[in-house]
Amino acid sequence: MSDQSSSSNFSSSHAPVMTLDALVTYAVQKIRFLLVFAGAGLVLGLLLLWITPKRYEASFLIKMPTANALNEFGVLQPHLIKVVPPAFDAKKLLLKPELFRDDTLAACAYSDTNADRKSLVKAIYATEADYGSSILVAVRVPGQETAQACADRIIADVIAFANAEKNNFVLYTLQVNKNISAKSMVNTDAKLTAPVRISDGPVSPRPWHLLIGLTLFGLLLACALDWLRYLYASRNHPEASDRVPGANS
Amino acid sequence: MLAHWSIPYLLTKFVNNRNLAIFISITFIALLWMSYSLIRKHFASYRAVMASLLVVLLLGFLQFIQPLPLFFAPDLLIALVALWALVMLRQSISPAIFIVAALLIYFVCFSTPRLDIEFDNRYYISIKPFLYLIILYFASAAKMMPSLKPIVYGSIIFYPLTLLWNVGLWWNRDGFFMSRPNFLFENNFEVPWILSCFVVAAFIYKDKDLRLYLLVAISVILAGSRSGLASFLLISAFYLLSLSRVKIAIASIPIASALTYLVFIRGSSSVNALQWEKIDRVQTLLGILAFYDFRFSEILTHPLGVGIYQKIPLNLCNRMEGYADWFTGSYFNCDPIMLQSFVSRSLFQFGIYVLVLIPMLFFWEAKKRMGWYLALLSIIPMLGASFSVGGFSNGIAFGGFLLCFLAYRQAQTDAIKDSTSMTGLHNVTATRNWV
Repeated sequence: MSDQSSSSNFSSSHAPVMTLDALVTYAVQKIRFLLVFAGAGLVLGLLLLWITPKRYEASFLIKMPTANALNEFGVLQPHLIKVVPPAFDAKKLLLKPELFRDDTLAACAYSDTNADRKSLVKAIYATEADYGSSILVAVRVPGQETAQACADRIIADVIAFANAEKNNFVLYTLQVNKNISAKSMVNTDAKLTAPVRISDGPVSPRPWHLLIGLTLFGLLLACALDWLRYLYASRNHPEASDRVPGANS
Repeated sequence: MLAHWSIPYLLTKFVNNRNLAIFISITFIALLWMSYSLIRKHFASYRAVMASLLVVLLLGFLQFIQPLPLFFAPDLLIALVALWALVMLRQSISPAIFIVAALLIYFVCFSTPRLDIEFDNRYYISIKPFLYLIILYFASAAKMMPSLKPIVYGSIIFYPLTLLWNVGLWWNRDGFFMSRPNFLFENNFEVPWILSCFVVAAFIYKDKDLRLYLLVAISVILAGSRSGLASFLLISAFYLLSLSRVKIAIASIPIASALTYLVFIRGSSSVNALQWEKIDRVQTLLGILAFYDFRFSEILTHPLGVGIYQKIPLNLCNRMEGYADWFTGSYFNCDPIMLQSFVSRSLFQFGIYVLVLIPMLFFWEAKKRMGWYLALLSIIPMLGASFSVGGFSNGIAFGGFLLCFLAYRQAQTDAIKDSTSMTGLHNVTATRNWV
C-alpha cells in the first residue's frame, strides 16, 4: 500500500528529533525559565488559596411524607402507599432562586439580592434518592457554623413545604372519600433520616489540587512557549530545524 | 465431572444440540489442522512452541480455578515498554502532547469535587486515555530489537486453542457449553488484541495467509463478543478487498459462518436487531443521553463534561443499580465506571469535544507514522471496543494499537536493511522519514 509515501509527507514538518539526552540537556539549560513559570503558577495558586473563602459542606437526607394513593377516579386505595409530594418537587423548590425565605438566605450568609439568591441555588446540590422517596441535599457555604445553620434552615423549609403539600392532599382526599376516617389513612410527616453531616475539612478550594495543578500548568505553559519560540526561530533560520534542540546551543 | 465425558452422555448432547455440535466439531478439526500447519510454517523450534503452549494452557487453567487479579498486568507491561521507549527515545514528539497534558492536568486537578460523604471514583481508569496518548507520543517510532513476529503469530495461533481449552474446562466442571469463553481477562477485552495481531500480520507483514484469517474468525466467533465481531467484520472488508478473487470466495465462508452462528445457533440472546435497546451498553448510553434530555444542545452546555470525580446522577444509578454493585461493590456508589463503555463514560466525564478528540488524536499519531490506511485499520479494534468496554482506556486494546506501531517500525527497518544491503542507498532519507 501507500505507507511509505504517506509517511514521507511528514519529513517536511518542523518537529525536531528528540532523545532522552536532549530532553535532559534542555531541562538543565532552561531550568531557570521553567522554574519561573512553575513558580508563577504556584504563587497564583497560593494567592487563590488565600483569597478564596473556605467552603464547608453540609449534607443530609430527608424522607418525604407518605399518604394513601388514589385511583384514577379519586377513590382512596387503602393498601397502596404513595410519596406525597415526591422528592422531585422538593428538589424543584430548592432550584428556584425566588423561593428562598429571607431567614434562609441570612442563615446561609447571603443577602437578599437576586445575585445572592442565584448563588445559593448554585451552592445547593439536591437530588432524589431511594427511588424518589427521599431527597439528598448538600450545601457548600463558607464556614462550618454557617454550613450547619444553613442546612438547618433548608431542612425546616423542605419539611414545611413537604408537610403542607401532604396535608393538603390528605384534606382533599378525606373530603372526597367521606366513608374513610382520618385514622385509617396513611399520614406520615417528612423527617430528617440522619443528622446533618458537616464535612471534616473545607471542601473548596482543594489546596493540593490547586497548587499542584497550577504549578504543572505553569511548567506546561513554559514548554509550550519555548516550543513556539523554537518554531519561530526555525522558520527564520531553517538550518536550525535539523538540530536536536539544546544539543549545541 | 468425568460423567460429562462419558460417550453416551456426549452422544446425547450431540444429538440434542446437533447444529452447535457439528459447528464446534468442524471448528475443532479445522483449528487443530491450521494451528499445526501455521506453527510448522512460522516457528523453527516445534518443541519450544509446544512448551509455551503448555504454559499458556496452564495459565488458562490456573485462571479458571482461581481467578487472579490480572487487570493491571497489561498496564504494567505498557509502563515497562514506555520506560524502555523513553530511555531509547529517538523520534519527534507531536506538539499535540501539550493539549493532552493540559487536559490531563485539568481533569485531575480541576474537576468538580464529589460530595464529601461519597466514596472516591476509580478515576485512574478515566484518565488512562491521556496517559496512553502521552506514552504513544514517546513510543510511536520506537525500534524494538527482538522480533515481534513470535508474539503476533503466537497470539493468533494460541488464542483459539485457549478458548477451546476454556470451553473444555467449563464442560468438565459444570457440564455446560460456555458460550463466552475467555483466556485470562474477558472476551470483550481480549478480542481487540487478537484483531490487532491480525492487522499486523495481514497488513503490516503483508502475510495474506488465509489460515490466519480463519483462525481469527474462529476466535471471534468462539469468544462471542459483539463489539469484537463488529470490528472483525470491518477489518474483513478491508482484508477482502486486498485479496485475489479466489481467496475472496474462500474468505467469505468464515464471515458467512460467523453470521450464521450468531443468528441461528447462539440465537437471539446476543444479536437481535429488533431488541437492540435491550443490550446493556445501549441502555447505559440511553441513560446518559436522558441525563442530557436527549438534546444535543444540552450536551454542549457541558463542554468539558462533569469531570472525573463526579458520580452519575442518582436516579440514573438507581435504574441500573445492579451495575453499580457489580463495578464498585455497593448499590449506592454510582461510579461512572458502571456505564461500561468508553463512549458513554467519556461523554459524561469529559464532554463531547474531548470524546471526539481522543480517537482523533490516536488516529492522527497513527496516520503520521503509518499512513492513513494502516492507521484506520489499526484503530478499528480499539474503536470497536470503546463502544463496549474501555477501548481507549483499556490496556489490552491500547497494547494491540502500540503493537501495530512497533511492528510497523520493525518491518520498515527490515525493509530498509534489505534495500541497503542490495543498493547501499536511501538509508539516510528512509530513516529521516521516520523520526
